[in-house]
Amino acid sequence: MKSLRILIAGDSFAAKVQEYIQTVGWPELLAESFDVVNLAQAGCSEYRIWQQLVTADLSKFDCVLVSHTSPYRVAIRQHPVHKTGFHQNCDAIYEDIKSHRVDTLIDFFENYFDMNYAQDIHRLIGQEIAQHLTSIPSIHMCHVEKNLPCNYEHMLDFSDIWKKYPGPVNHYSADGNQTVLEKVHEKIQQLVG
Amino acid sequence: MKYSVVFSGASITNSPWYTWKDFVIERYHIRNPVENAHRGVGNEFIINSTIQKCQEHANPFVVAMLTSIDKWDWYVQDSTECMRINAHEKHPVRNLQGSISIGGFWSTGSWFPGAKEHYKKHYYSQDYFAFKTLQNIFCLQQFCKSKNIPCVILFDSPVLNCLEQDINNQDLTYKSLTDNELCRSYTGQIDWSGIYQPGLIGYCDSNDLEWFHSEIKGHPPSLSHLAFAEQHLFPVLDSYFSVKTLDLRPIAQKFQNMFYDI
Repeated sequence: MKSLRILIAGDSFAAKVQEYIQTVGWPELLAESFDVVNLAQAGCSEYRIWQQLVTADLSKFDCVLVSHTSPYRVAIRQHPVHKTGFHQNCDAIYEDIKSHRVDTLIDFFENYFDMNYAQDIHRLIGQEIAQHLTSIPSIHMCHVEKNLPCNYEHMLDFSDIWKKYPGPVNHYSADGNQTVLEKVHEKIQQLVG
Repeated sequence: MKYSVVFSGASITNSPWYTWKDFVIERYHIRNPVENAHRGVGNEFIINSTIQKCQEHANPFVVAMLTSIDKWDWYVQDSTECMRINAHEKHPVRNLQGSISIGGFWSTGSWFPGAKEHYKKHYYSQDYFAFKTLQNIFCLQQFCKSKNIPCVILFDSPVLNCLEQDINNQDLTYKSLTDNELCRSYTGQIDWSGIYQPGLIGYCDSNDLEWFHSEIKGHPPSLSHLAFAEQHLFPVLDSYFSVKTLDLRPIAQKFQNMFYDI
């Protein structure tokens, strides 16, 4: 079983957490069954998820898991608040920027940000990701409604699971992480097992 | 063992109709319940007054329903001065015992008068108040553990995923309010195993039960409280107390109309 090689790309839903909160989430649990390389980063934009995928050597993997993110997270060079730790590579999203009172970005989001543009770019990047992954089995996941940028052949939408099992580890409780793990596991088995 | 059951919470616990707390009292015929639920209070008051109540009563048993992180309590030395500065303020100042007093916790729910409004605008930090709630949960769990006090923690809503200001607009879009550096220091320390995080309102929302009223916003009616208690509270309490009244539906039905009559 352990010989299956899995690449994970995505946001905080799929990021490794153990280093930061001394407990494990579903990605670490998945790594007990498969050889996992996890490139997911908390708070990153869809653009950065696409970058995670294009910089990886796909020939080294049997399957790719992609955790898609919000269309409204904007790629920035350096986050003005989160410079270290779990969110050190995160991009900008309005609620976070507002809560940390970053005036220049609040001004951008409130007065210049175009939601239609963001949705279209999100969809286009999502299609580019699909194109990039045509040579390898891939599973596309989201846990917030409308975060899947386009239709994929193999999708897992965890938005209902999140509402049932919210929690502190990859946004889920222990039961939630177990449920996610089982569903991901099952999907991988269906696809490449 | 004969317990002194401490029921703590905010306005959802202390509604005019039967709430989860009243159904627990009815189901197990709890004698001399320690009522510690007050409108407008935040988690700092709920938890610290619970600890206080535990020290005032023999063999305490805690059932505490926590509330949204964006309702915060200020401890003020002089409530007279506080009321003078914040004219038209309707929320009283309470001491740790829950009595209205000169010095104590000034808890104003999701209403931010005068100085609190200024603080909210210029200094409020969502991360910090999420952190404070985690810190208080940790404190209560450690206190109860050290004293061998049974402790059940409930949430009145997805308090670590939704803000009261959004719930007031019937918006239950989940966010991760504890996904930050401050909170991370506590998330791994807390025992989450018995805490159902969607809470009462999240449960209602997932099960098509009523929880929102245009006048009083997120305050579920009696039937919703009962359904939640049957699913997430009675199974825990049944191992500590013997069931005396099984069918609570008639009484819930009777109080349900109060919600519609507002």
